[in-house]
This record gives sequence, structure tokens and C-alpha cells, in this order.
Amino acid sequence: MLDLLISGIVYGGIITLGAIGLTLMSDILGFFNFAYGEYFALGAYGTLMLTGVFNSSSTFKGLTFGWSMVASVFISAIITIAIILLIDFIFFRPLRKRGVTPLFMALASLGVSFVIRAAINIIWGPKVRYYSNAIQLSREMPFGIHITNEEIVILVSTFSLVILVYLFLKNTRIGKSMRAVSNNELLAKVCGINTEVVIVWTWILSGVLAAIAGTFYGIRVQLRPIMGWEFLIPLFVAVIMGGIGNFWGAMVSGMIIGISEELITGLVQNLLNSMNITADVSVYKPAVAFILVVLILLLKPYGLFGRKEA
Amino acid sequence: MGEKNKKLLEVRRIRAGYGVQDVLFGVSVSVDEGEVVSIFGPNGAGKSTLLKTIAGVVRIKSGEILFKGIRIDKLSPQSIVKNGLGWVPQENNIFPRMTVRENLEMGGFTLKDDLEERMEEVFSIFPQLREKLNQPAGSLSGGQRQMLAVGRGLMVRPELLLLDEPTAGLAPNLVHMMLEKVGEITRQFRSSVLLVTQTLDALRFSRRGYLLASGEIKYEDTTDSLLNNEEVKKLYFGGITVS
Repeated sequence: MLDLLISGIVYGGIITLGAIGLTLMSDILGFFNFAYGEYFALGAYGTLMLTGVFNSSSTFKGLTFGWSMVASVFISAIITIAIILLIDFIFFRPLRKRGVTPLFMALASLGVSFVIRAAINIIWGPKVRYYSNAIQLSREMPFGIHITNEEIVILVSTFSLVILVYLFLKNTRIGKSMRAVSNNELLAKVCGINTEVVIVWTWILSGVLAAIAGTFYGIRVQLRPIMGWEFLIPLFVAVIMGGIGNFWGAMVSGMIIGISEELITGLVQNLLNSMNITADVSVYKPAVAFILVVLILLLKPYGLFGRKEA
Repeated sequence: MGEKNKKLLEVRRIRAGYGVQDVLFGVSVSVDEGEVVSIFGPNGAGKSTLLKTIAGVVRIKSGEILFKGIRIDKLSPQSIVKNGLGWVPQENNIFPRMTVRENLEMGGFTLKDDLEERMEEVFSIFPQLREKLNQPAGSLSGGQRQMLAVGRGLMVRPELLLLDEPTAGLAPNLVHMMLEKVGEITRQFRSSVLLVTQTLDALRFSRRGYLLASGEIKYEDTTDSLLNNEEVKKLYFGGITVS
């Protein structure tokens, strides 16, 4: 039970990183970007490619990766941002200039996501990939909790990043202008804020988060071309549940989804195993997220932390 | 007032609207330096659209807008605010999820420094805002929100402040207070004010007024003359006798 909880917190942390990027993007750009899951996959595959380039077998003590992985994540984030900005320049910016509605922007993003996924399939193939073939060993913690060193690194990095992003949004000039645009774009414009600059920064920030979350997902699970599309479901649920544009809402919702998915499917799996019923419940994880969002929206239509603004 | 006739804003025969729908049909308005001018008229007359057009949010289809003698109708809203023109919309005029301090900071976004000094100037007009500094703007009362909205507009010490119904929805005692504050603004900031209003109180407060109806200026005169114009009184103020 506690192991499932820890596993849920780790998974929830990864969802949180992606959800913060997606919620900022949805709020500031004003549409649901279906390509966001593919940015996540791009970041993960970019790291895979770069670890291959570095081809270093040295690892940190007790971990299955080393400095080459850290450098790869960093460079992969930069490459992901460059691709995201290029996509914005080619597709989204011209559509914005023409005043295309959010619905059509979302549909255009769906097209972009198909293109990126196809490109990933062509470049890396449909096979499942791993960053390392080494086995991640779990350590025994108090209360009989088992956690791998990789999971500890993911947890610490995730929460450090969340705090860094919060401080960036709260204290920097560009962070404040991003929040201003997300609050009231027209007013931000007449305050002298250049909304195109804000949009570029939104892509950059969400690109960094997507690339890092993608890599963490790859470390913890595996890499598959469909990973971005699959990960998009809990991300959307976290954004809707937390209230669009709500930073802490995205974080708490990400955690709720991660923990619920792991706990519920894990407990049901244990139950079925004890009854000698053979079934893989883990494939139903997205269903948990959907049930959660339906329940919460029925009770709180603006999400757990969102509210109708007066 | 030796320079009272120096034109700060000149709106010349502008036609503007949303998409194919025109709202303003050849509207001309002017504001001199240090002047408070009112635009009044019925709902749907185009008053708010006129302010939006001056602020660069709505584009003109013909005519021209000059601010300090320079055409601004092709400039972005960002450039217009940098030129010294502030706009306070009637609705959605604050950043609700940001604190009062952050709202004021955003008002002074184009400033290089002096943020604290400018905030002190705003507090000298609206001291209540100082007490709410770290409170989310969305949690303020209607009157406090209006103060914050005007305070945000003042952060750049605008030479011309466009106020869209600053007293709308306020309790009667707050209406008077807000108008007093507009007077303080013109004295302390030496700002001119172009005020959109539907109330007699606000109209009385200005030196001149324009009656805008169906997207056209129907009357233009000094406030005293407008308030004593029988037709204006009958049509737009329900025949109220003006003392």
C-alpha cells in the first residue's frame, strides 16, 4: 500500500511538471494544445539520442545514469524548445495573427501532434526503448517502503523544479507579465506588455518542463512513440481538475491523479491476484483519471481550485 | 491657464467598429491639456468603443487620432501607453489573480525604475490600497477594485487618462469619492481626463461634454450649457432639473 503511494507520488510529480507547462500554455495561448504530449515525447527521445551520442558508461553511484544523462536532458530541453518555437513560427503564429478561434487552434495542434508522432516513429521506430538496461534497485526505507534511487532523484528534481518555476513566475519581470497575460490579456497589452514576447517565454518554459518530464517518464517507465499521446490524458485531466491557469491547482491535481492511478489500479490488481484472476489492470490507469475528472467537475465545474471570476 | 487651449488629444472624424459592424460614424472629440471632458449618452452609443479606439485596442477604419500632435491610430496599445496615454476599462480592469502590489507593478510595466515612488503617489490618492497591498485583487470590494484600476492607470503618470465609467456600480457615497479622486488626479498628476459617464454627477464634474448617441456626436458644449439644454435633459437625463 505504502509502496503504491510512493509510486503514485513519483508518477504524480512527473504529471505535475507536465501539467504546470500545459496549464500555463492553455491559459496564456487560450487553447488546448494537443501537441504538448508530443513535446514531452520529443524531450524524452532527444535525451535518448544524446545519451547515445555521449556514449558514456559511467554512472552516478547507486544510479543507472550519470553526467551524460544530465547533459543530455539539458541539451534535449534546448532542442525541444527550438522545435516548439519553430512550430509556433510556422503554424500557430500565423493562425493567431488571423484571429483563429481556440477550437481551430486546438484542431491545428492535433495535426501537429500527428506529424511529430509520425516523425518519432520514423526516426526511432515503434520499438520500446530504455535509457539503460541496468536494473534499478530499490532500497528499503522506514515503514517498509521501497523506493529506487532513480525515483528519489525524480522526486527531488521535480519538487525543486516546481519551486523554481513558482519563484520565476512570482518574482521575475517576465514571470509576472506571463501571469498578467494569463489573467487579462487585453489589460496586459494596454499596460505595455508585449504579448508575443510572453508567448515565446510560455513556449520556452513549457518546453523545458515537457522535456524534463518526458525524460523522467522514460527513466521510470520506458520510451514508446505513443508515450506523448498517452501522457496527454492525465495532463489534460490535471489541468481541468486544477482549474485552467492555476499553478498550485495543476500541482495538487497532478499528485491526486498520479496517486489515484497507482493506488486504485494497484489495489485492484492485488485483489484480482489474490482471487487467481489473470488480468492486467494497469492498462486501465487512464480510466481512473477520467472518472476523477468527471466526479470533480460534477461537484466543482471550474475544477478543484478554479473559480468563476467576477 | 495660459495654455488651456493647447490640444492634447484630437480625434478627427473616426469611423470604427468590430469586424464589419461599425459603431462609430465620423466621431470627432478633443481634449485640451489639464481638461476633464465627459462623453455621455445612452447604452450602446459607442462610448466605450471610442475609448478603446483611442487606446489602440479597436482599429479605426477612417479618420485620424492625434495625441500631442502625433498620429497614434496606427500604433500598438503598448506604444500608445508609452506615449503617455492611460486607459482604465469599465470591466475586467484588474488582474484578479495577482496581488494589489503586482497590479500596480503591471501598471508601471513600461517604467525602468521609480516603481516604489509611483506607488506612493498612487497611495496618496487611494490610501486604502496600501492596506491591501498583498491581497489578491480579485478579493477586493467593487469600490476598491475601481480604485486599484484607476491607480494602475496612474502608475505611468499619464498625460491623458481615459476613464470608462469609473463610478459604475459604486454606492452613492463612493461615486462622490471617486469623482473627488479624479479631481485630485488632475491636480496632482497634471493629467487630463476623458471620462465616459452615464451620471449627472460625473458630467457636472467636467468642463466640457460630448453627447454620443448611435455612434455620432449629437451635442458638444460646456457642461453648464449641456446641463441646461432642455432637449439633452429630456432625452438623456429623464427631464431632471439641474440646479
